Amino acid sequence: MDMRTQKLGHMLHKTFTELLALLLTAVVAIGTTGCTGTAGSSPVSTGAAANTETAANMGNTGSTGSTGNTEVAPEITDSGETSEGLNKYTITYLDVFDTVTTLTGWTKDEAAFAAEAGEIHDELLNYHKLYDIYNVYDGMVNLKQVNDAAGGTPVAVGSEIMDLLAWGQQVYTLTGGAVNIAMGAVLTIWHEYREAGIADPSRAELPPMDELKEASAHTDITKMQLDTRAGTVTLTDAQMKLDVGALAKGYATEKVCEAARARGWTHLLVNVGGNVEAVGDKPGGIPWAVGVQNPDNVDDYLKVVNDTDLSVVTSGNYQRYYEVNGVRYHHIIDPKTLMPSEYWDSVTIICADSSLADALSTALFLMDQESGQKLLDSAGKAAEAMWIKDGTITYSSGFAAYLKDT
Amino acid sequence: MDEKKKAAPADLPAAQENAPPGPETSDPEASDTAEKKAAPAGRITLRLTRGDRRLLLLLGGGALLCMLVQTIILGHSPGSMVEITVGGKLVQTVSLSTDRTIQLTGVGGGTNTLVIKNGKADMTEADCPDQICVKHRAVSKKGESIVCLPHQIVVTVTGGEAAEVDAGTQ
Repeated sequence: MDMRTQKLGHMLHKTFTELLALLLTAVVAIGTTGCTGTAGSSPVSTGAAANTETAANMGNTGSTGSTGNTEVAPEITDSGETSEGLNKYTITYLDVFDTVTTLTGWTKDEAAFAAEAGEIHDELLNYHKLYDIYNVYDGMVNLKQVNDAAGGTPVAVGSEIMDLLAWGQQVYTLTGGAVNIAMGAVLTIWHEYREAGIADPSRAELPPMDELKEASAHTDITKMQLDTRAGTVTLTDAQMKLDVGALAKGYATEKVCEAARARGWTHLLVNVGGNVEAVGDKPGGIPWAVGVQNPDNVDDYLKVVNDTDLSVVTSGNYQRYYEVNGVRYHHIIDPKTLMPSEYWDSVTIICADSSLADALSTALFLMDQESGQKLLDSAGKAAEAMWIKDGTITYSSGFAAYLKDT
Repeated sequence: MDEKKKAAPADLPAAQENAPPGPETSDPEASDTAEKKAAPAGRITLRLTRGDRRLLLLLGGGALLCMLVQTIILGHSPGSMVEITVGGKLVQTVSLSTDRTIQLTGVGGGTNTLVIKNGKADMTEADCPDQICVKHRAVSKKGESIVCLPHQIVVTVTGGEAAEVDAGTQ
C-alpha cells in the first residue's frame, strides 16, 4: 500500500505540474494575443494616397463627391450564423454616395455572396458617378457636366440620368415643390457655410439671407428641359444647378434591388447610408429587423421595423449639421424659408419602393403632420410614416403593424 | 500484492523513460497513450488516468465557471472582438474584454481615438470634418460597426452575441 500511495502521489504531482505548465502556457498565450492591441496601438497607416476629396465633400445631402480611391477591396465578414443551409455574410463599402453602404446576405457560401455583393457594388458605383455633381469621370457624361453646361446647351445623357431627372419632375409635382432637384444654387451656399463652420467652429456663420434669396431665384425646375426623344437635358437658366441629394440614394437603391430580384436573389439587405431595402427575407421566412435610430442619440434604436421586401428610409436632423453660436443647423433645407426645417427631429417612411420612400421622407420632414398624411395618401403606392419630435412619436395608421415587438 | 509490488517498480521507470518529454509536458492525452504502450500491465495506469481525467474535468469545469461568471458580470461574451480596417485593409483585431484606448491613423493621415471599455467599443475623438463616428453610439454586438468615412476607418464587432437588428436607418 505504501508503494501505491507513494506512486499515486508521485503521479498526481506529475500530473499537477503538467497541468500547471499547460495553464501557464495558456495564460501566457491569451495574454500575448490580448495584447496585440497595445502592441499595435501605435499609429497605423495604410500608406494609401490621401483622399481629401471625400473629406471635402462630406456633409452634403448625400449625392456628391467622388472617392477615386485605389484602396483594396473591403473584406467580407462571415458572421458564423447558419440557417437552412445558408450562411450570413456582410460587407461594407465606403465609396458610393459619400456614405456607408452595408450589404448583408444569406447565401450557400462566401463565393455566392461575393458575386452578389460585387454586382450590387458595381451598379451603385455607376449610379454614384453618374449623379455626382462635384467630379467628372472618364467614359461617361454625368450631372456635373449637365450643371456645367447650364445656360442653354443641350447635353446628351444616358437613360440613368434621364430617368432620375424625370423622377425629379414627378416628385416636385407630387410634393408641391417641397422636394426640388433644381435647388442646387441654394444648397451649394449652405454646403459651403456648413463645411467652413465644421472646419473652424469658432468662426461658424449662417449664410446671409440675401445671398440665399438671390440664389433661390435660380431654382425653377421648369427651366430643366428633358428631351427624351433626343436623349438630352438642357438647363436654360445659366445660374441654376441640379442637386439630386434628396433622391439619388433611394433611386439607386431601388434600381439595384429591382435588378437583384429579377436575378432571383432572395435573402439580401441593402443599406446605403441608412436608406434600407430588403430583397426577400431571412431564411425561414423571418423578416429582416431594421432599427430606427433615436434622434436623441441614446445607446439604442428607438423602434425596430419588420422588413420583408420593403424599404425603410429616415430623414433626420441629427447627423449632418453644424453649430452657429450654440444652435444646430442641419442639412435639410426648406425651399419656402431657405432655412433648415424645424418641424421634426426625424421622419421614417416604410414603402415597397425605395425611391418613393426617400422622396417622401424628405418631403414629410419639410411639412406638418396633416400635410404629410395627405401626401402619403396621394403617393399612389402604400406608404407609412413615423414622425419624431422631442421624444414624441406619431404614426400613420398602418405603421404600427410593421413594428417588431421589443 | 506480489504481482503489484513486482510490476510497480518496473512500470514507473518504464513510463518515465519511454514517454518523450515533449508531448508529456504539453499534452496529457499523448502522455497517457505513451504510458499505455509502455506498460501493458495497464491496471495501475488506468487508475491514474481516471485521476487525470477527474483533474481535467475539475479544471475544465473551473474554466467554464470562470467564463460564465465573466459573461454574467461583464454582460458580454468573451468571444467578442473588434476588427479595425483602414482603407478596406484589416489592421487590428482586438478583444472587447480588455479595456484599452487605441489611436488610429486613417487614410489621409487623420487620427481617431477608439476606446474599448466595459465590453463596448466607442469612437471618442476624431479630427474628421463631420464627427459622425464620434456621434455614433458605442457598439458591442456582433455585426455592429462604427465608420469614419473621411478617414475610411471601419470598426466592426465580430463574434459574441448577435445584434437585434440587421440594419439601421438614420
